[in-house]
Amino acid sequence: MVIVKIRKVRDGIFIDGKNFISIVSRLCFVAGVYFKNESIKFSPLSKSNIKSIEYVALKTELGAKEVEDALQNNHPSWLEILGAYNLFDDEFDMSKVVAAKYTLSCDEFIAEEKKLKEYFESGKQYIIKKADGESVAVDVSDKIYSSSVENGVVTIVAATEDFDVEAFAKSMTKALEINVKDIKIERKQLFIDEGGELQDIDEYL
Amino acid sequence: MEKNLIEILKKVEKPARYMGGEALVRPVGTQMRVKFCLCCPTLYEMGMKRRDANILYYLLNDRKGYSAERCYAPQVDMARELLKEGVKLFSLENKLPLSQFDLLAFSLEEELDYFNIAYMLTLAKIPAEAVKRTSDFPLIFAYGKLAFNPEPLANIFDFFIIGDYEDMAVKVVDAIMKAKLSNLNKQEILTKLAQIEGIYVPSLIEVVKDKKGIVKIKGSVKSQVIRDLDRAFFPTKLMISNIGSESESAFIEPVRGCGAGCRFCQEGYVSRPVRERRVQTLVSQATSQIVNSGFDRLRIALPSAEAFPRLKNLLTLLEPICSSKGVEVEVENVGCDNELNSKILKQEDELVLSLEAGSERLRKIINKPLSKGEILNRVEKAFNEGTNKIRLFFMVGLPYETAEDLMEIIELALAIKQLYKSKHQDENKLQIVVQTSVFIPKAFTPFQWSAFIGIKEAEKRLGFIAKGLSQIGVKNESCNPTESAVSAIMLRGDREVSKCIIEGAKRGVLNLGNFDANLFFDVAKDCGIDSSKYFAKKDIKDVLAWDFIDVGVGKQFFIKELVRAQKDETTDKCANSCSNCGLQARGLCKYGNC
Repeated sequence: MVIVKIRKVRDGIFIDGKNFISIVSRLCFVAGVYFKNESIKFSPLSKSNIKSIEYVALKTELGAKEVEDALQNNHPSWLEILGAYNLFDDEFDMSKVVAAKYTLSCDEFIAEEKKLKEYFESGKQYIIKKADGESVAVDVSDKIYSSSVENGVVTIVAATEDFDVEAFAKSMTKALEINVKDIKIERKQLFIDEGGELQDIDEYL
Repeated sequence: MEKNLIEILKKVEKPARYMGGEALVRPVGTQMRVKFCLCCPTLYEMGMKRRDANILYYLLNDRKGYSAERCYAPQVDMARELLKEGVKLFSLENKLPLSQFDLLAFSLEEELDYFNIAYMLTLAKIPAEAVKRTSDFPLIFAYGKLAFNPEPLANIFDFFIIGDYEDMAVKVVDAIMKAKLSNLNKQEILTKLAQIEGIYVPSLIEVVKDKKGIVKIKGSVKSQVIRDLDRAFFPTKLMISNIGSESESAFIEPVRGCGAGCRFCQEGYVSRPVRERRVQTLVSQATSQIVNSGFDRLRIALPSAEAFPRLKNLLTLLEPICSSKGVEVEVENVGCDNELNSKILKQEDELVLSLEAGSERLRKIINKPLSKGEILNRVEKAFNEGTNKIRLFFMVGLPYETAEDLMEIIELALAIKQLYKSKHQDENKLQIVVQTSVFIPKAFTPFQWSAFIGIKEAEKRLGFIAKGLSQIGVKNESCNPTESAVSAIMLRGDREVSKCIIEGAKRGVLNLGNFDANLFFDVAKDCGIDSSKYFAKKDIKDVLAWDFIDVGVGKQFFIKELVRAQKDETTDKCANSCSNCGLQARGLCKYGNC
């Protein structure tokens, strides 16, 4: 099995999940990995509008080098191939990927670091959702495993499931009354659940 | 530009349409000797599937020293943002404004896209009228299947390629390269281009008006034919679209041209003679595309199964490559023809029959002489093989159509229902869909002189069929007759039509998913266009806007075919016997006595 680490960059943030899967599957096919539905598995996809790290697991006879070389020659300009790794355990399960590290940044955060730190220390983080025309605050504090604020950059490690980082960023700035024009969100790292502990997928590989 | 563009893209729906940078695209240099942009007057996701545009893109980019970029029609939300931010419409590769190119090429594949051409030029801040463009602007030309009647666009384009475009595009780029080295001005370049056979330069051709005010174009332009398709360029790799790549497929074109002689079909005459690619060539082209572009589907473009007698042989040779890579094969216009019996063929569960006319008499008139018995036999065979979905295509408003012909559409649907009922207990499983459109007379067909029945009459006939089918419980899908009426004007239009194309685009008549045909007629009225002139039946002595184009098939042949239609007489397919259409005179036809 080969695991490929890739990153959506620049205007790649506009490629949604469905198109991302289709494009990367086609690229893998060009690299020589056939029967794509059974042999290609993706890590939980990030939403569009977010620069992100993604992983693709390929069941193939090919080696990591061959796959990487083929992908490096053909990838779209909005995608970076960061590496490919041979995995001798043929059953790497993408559902083991449970958390992601995100950075949230914007100029306005620099002056509001104190407020932001207090927000995370309070242990009460919410996402405002619309339900039946009414706004409902959904507690997501148990989905955020760690957080830090430094130099105007908020870093959180949060669940990949049932956690919408974009909605969280909006709800957070609204709750803190920080007027922001544009928050840049990036998914930097993915973690797997290794016996109840979060482990960086790169370390596993 | 890039930062600004990302900000713009955040505000529009489907921003991936405007990004470029697709997988498998080789970077195009910005310092090319001839800056060439291929413009597809349709949205990105449709344009990416257009074959002519794809072929030309790779043809130019695969050649040393040549290059081409791309541009597609932006959706209205993007157009609004471009205007608001003062950004000119740009190419996808280098984000270069269209006005900075030497050459812009528009593919003509759908007549309602004509409005999108004027819209794209306006967004690029390029005057839509050729006469207003000085040497500072790019030269703009059109190519493709609709260029056989170029007149509705003659005031917009500087020149047209008539016929097969692959070799012609290279000749055009070569001519522009030479012209740039010699510092020629626009007029001088056009004069050089006009000397190339197959190039039509509207501003350099003599136009005279007779006493009745009818415009006649003097001279003649010969459409170009690639005689040996094996020699013609064909892409070995296709890029992966940023949107909708899951529905893309590799494609091969075994034949060009059709010898069936359906009297309503323009492509069947203008693309003659029938030319075939060798099976080995096709296998190699298909393999290259599948391997190089990661397709899991291969489409074989054919007008019908009969059009390529070696189809079975081709499928046999494709089987090892397709099976090993899990590639499914679809053959266009063949449906569930199980005689092909190939395991790589996509299992179609629907029988599609393009019958066009309801009665045997009318099918003879249009030269598609299928008897009712033959149709029912094909349907019965499909039923026996487990199909319970039937889709039938018909047209209303065909020349010499009567109420009985329309009635026979309903009767045929009923006969199919009864046939199913006689074989199956559960008749609810049967799904018949009748799709009806309106006949639009087209240039270079025996019916080019026939009338378009008009919107009200079309509504009446479509309504009659819809009602009849609903009474027998058959689903009906009809076209929009007002849109068909716009098509009728475009397809037999003359230079007068240009002004309502330009004005229509300004006022929002655009083919971007919600074409407003009623608005077009308001614009046409304001522009002084008399629609009825374009709908009316023409006399065979009338001068036609496209008379100066020589497609090889002679006008006398079309007249002869029209007379045969009037007598309910059919004409044999080219492959069976030569009907002396005129191509022999140009030494192009393999079936004739040339």
